[in-house]
Amino acid sequence: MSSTPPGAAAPAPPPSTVACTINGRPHTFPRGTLIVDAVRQVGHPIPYYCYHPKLAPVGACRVCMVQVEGPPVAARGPIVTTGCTTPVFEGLKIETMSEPAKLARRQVLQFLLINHPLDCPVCDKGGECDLQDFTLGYGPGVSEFAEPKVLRRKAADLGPFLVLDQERCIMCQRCVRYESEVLGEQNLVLKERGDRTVIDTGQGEPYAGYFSGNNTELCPVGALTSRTYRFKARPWDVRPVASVCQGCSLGCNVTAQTRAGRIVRLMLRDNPAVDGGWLCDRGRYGFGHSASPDRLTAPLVRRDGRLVPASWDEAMAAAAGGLRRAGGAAVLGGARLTDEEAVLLAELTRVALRTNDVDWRVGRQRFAAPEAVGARGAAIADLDGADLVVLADTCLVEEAPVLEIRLRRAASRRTAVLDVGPVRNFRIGRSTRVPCPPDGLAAALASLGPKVAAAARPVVIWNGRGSEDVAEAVRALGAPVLVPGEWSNARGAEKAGLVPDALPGYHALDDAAPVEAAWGASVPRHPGRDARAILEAAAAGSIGGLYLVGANPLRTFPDGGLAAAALDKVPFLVVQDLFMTEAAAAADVVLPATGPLEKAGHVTNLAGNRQTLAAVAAGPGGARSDGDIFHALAAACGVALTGRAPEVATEPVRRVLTPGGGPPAGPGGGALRLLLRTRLYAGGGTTAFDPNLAPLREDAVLRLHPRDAAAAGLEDGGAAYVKGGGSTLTAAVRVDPDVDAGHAELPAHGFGPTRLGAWVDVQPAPAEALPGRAAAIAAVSAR
Amino acid sequence: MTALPAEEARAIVARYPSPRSAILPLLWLGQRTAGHVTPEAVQDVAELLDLRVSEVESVLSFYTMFRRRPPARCRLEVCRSLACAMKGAEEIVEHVREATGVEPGGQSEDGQFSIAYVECVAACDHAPAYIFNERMGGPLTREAALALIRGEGVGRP
Ligand code: SF4
Ligand code: SF4
Ligand code: FES
Repeated sequence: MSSTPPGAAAPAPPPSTVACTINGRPHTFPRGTLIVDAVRQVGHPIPYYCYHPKLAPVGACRVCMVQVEGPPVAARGPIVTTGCTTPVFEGLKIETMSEPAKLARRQVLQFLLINHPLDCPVCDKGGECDLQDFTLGYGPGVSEFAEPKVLRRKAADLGPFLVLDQERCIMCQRCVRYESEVLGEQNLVLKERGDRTVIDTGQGEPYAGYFSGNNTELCPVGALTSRTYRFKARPWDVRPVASVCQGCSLGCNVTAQTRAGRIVRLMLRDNPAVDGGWLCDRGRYGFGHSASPDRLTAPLVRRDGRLVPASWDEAMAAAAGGLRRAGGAAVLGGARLTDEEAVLLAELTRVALRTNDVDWRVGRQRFAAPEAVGARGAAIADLDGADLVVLADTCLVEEAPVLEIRLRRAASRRTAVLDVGPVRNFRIGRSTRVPCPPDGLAAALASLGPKVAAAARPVVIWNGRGSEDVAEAVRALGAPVLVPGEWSNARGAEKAGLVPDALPGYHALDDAAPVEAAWGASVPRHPGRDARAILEAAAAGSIGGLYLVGANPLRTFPDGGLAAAALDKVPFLVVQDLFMTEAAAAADVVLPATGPLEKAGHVTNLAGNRQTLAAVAAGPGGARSDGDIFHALAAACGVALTGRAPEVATEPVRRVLTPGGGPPAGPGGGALRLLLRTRLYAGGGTTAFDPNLAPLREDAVLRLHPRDAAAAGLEDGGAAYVKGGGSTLTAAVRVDPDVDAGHAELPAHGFGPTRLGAWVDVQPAPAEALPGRAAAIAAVSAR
Repeated sequence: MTALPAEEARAIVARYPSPRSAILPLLWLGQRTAGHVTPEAVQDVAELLDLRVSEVESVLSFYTMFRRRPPARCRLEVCRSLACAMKGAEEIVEHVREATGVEPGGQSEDGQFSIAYVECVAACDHAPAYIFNERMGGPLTREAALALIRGEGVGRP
């Protein structure tokens, strides 16, 4: 035993566990364990409504009554109290099923039901409702309440995703507390008082946040429900399948529920290391594209200038022939594949098409894994304990929304957030802005060196945009890095070698032996061209065929003029996608693929967590998985793919970030600097075609500072012409003080913004001028 | 800020160590200014105190003393907390309803009067207590209630 040094007689710390009895049997729990958790752990659960493990206890519903006796209430004999606000104490005797406890719960349940409409037969919660279950288990069979019930709003419209039934609400306030404790947003609040209290939005406006759907899983009754699930299924009718959201590169874990082969809803599947048990609305509700009537259902081949349906054999023969004509083929895309499919595409490219001209980076992200540029990777959970987080021009709520919830929580405790860039990225919660122009990111990051060096556990979040100077600045900060991706599986694509300057497994081009061993075939050694060089070559007519795999450079490539010229000039274009995108409309062969909810495999998220994707739904009949298509295309080229993933290099090749091809430096003229930034509800992938997300689509939304708006005569909610680079775009106007003056922000994946050049002018437009999607497609497909 | 007198509003905010404490006084200011609390006033309060509009609405709706629409000329508010209820408050309001057809919480079409229930006004010794045009009184009778809403009691609580 060690002796206590003189003068430092610290009091012995209280033991970290306490012993108590539950229904007569002794148990030990960590100090501070709430009775409601303790009794559940040992198999004597009690009902609870307001309590939720992810929210602070409030003791609002009173249904978790238990009988306790002993310290610190020994003098009072046995008393009945709420199990969700009382921790276990040493020597406490807890009885969950004593007569006083049962009576208290029965009375509370009866009380909770006095104004409840009892419309279970038409309630979406029926079958998984805590009010049904606990009333059956612990409540009275019959109510003594004979007065008329208070009537409230039923099926109230709370915006695109939520439906509220105020009569079913039991005022547990889980939703209200989630809104303020977890989100810091207060989109839902209590209104009125007493028996007239209701849940509502502030002034009756639609729910405005990005995380509304979590309320439907927190609500223990049928008060807050999902519009997309309304009257769709009963819980005993559905087949649950565990999978992973591919709405962004975070990869939140989900349970997809299908009925008769159709997805009826996605629910959270708590993974503390990734999602912390939350989903964003884009992920939760963005499954509508799977069963969309607009899906491509058969291969299309261009004949006499028109795309006409063809058999898979015809389409494969046409694609293989076209891609091997003089000038060679190049491949763009692949960051939405599974890891296995990405390896197949890498093998198809190297072995069958004999080229290193392949690049998943058809947008602005330059790399996916921090290790690829010599930085250290961070784990998602590192955010929880970080004392300093640097947001390098990265907006989590738009780029990896559920990660934002984690950062907000960290920032509400002890984490300082430095928000670097020309737009406020972190809008809710404490942060310090470090404004800089879009090309000043490297310098701004460098200026933070001392602060990061002084921090004990810093984390840098950088979405990988910009070039080597920014990478150098990030490396110099020396902190671990998280890289939210522009596409869901950018990291898997990079690791599979869908880049021109490295082979699969991060092998250097001259270290091809392990790759050739895996595939049993030789691979080309000369460096390939990156996306910009490929598009330039295509525009110059020096590439024979272009293969776009789930990629639409017309929307995503920063220099839209170059992308348009490339797709216009390339002699042969193959597009593999789920929908008739602008690029597909210009193709010679269109190959219909299955989507992320329709195929099995693995995906790698932004922090390198490898997760399992399941085929939840079948997808349209004529579509095939990307992997099947790669096999078939290779076969049409006379090559059998192995699909074997080469081992990862022990020393990953250090890649140098070439500039990603931002918009061409504007020929002056424009007064505002154009910012192309990722927006959650803008894009040409599944978002553009998802009926569930349609109400929130914002492909053409211009955000600018009030001063610039006033100078241009623009009003919030109005329409504007945005002009630059000889091109004009019509956009809806949002006046937003969080965009620094002198900038005009447009969604990076909208249709049109990338053609405008670096500097733009804005002026008022009539409301009727706002573009329709059909017009946009028509304009492009007329080639 | 458009719905609150700016100088007065800022002076109120300055009175409190935590801005949030100024919600109620600012809402009163809004009610004094426009006769009732307008949605614009709520937005001003939120902006001034850096709160969400929803939080201010939540506080506002809790208190029955705030009006959400232009006031009637004669405003009778009858307490129905325990003591007043036992002394017949609800019978009096029911009598007014039968005589005029105006429901509690409602207002006569010509804007002459409104009648509403309120929670305890801290005058249980005068039960059934009431507030008429912001002044407390009691005990209320059926006849007095009708006289008040006809305007016969204006200025004479
Ligand atoms: S709406 Fe649901 S979660 Fe919110 S207070 Fe009512 S019962 Fe609770
Ligand atoms: S944060 Fe990303 S992965 Fe998670 S639910 Fe939202 S879209 Fe899906
Ligand atoms: S669960 Fe304990 S009071 Fe609601």
